[in-house]
Amino acid sequence: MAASNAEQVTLARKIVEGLGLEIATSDEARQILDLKGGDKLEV
Amino acid sequence: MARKVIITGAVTGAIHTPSMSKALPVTPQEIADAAVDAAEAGAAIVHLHARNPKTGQPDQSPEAFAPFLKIIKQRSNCVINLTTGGAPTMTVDERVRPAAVYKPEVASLNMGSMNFAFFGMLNRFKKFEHDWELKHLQNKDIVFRNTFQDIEYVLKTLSETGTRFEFECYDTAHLYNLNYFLEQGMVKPPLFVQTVFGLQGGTGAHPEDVLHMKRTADRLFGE
Repeated sequence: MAASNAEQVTLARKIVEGLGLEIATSDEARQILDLKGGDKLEV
Repeated sequence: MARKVIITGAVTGAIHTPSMSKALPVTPQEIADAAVDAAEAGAAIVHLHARNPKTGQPDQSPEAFAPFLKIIKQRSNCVINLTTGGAPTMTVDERVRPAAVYKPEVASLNMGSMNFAFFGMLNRFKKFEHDWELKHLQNKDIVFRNTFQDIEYVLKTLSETGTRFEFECYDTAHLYNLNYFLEQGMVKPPLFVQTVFGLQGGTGAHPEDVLHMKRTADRLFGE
């Protein structure tokens, strides 16, 4: 069992890459989902 | 060309309670660290809920989000996705406020009403540090309310913010509900559809449940 969130992400990533697929970077996710950009979060 | 796979790290949520695991982030620093670490491990998006730092109880006040949002925005380029689900016992007004205030790139949006239950977890977890945990878990009377009016309210409230949505679907009816809003022009492609399995009150976690949600989504929304 994973001991942290990051470990769970690593496990998911291994499964995805093991299938011969690539994970998206945050900027690629922005393109795919048509997002407005991280600078636009108002905090 | 093969599509790329987006991993979202949903680091704390509002379902699990602190006594269940030391790995559950509770304080703003823990939530921020968990999100940044998840992003560094490969999560393109982090999905965020807030909690009371002392008790770990879900807290949907905008003030509860600010401390970790500042840290994450500073330390990471990850996409921030804020919940409008909060906890299923909250009103839709309360639930939408953090996204309305911070105007994130993505906010979750629950696409239908449903029963919501965690009492099955009491078979595995018996001892709790805080009083609220047992009350939260043993509640058999939760209706997670997301009427057409509620969904319209969230869409209208966030329409000026440029925020796009992760549509949370716990059953095929929720996919049909999403399709209604698509046909009305109230949501715009590309649709970011999240399907949830194995939560008591929603669809199951059998491979056929997964297949059925996928093929229904493909049929309604195209590939």
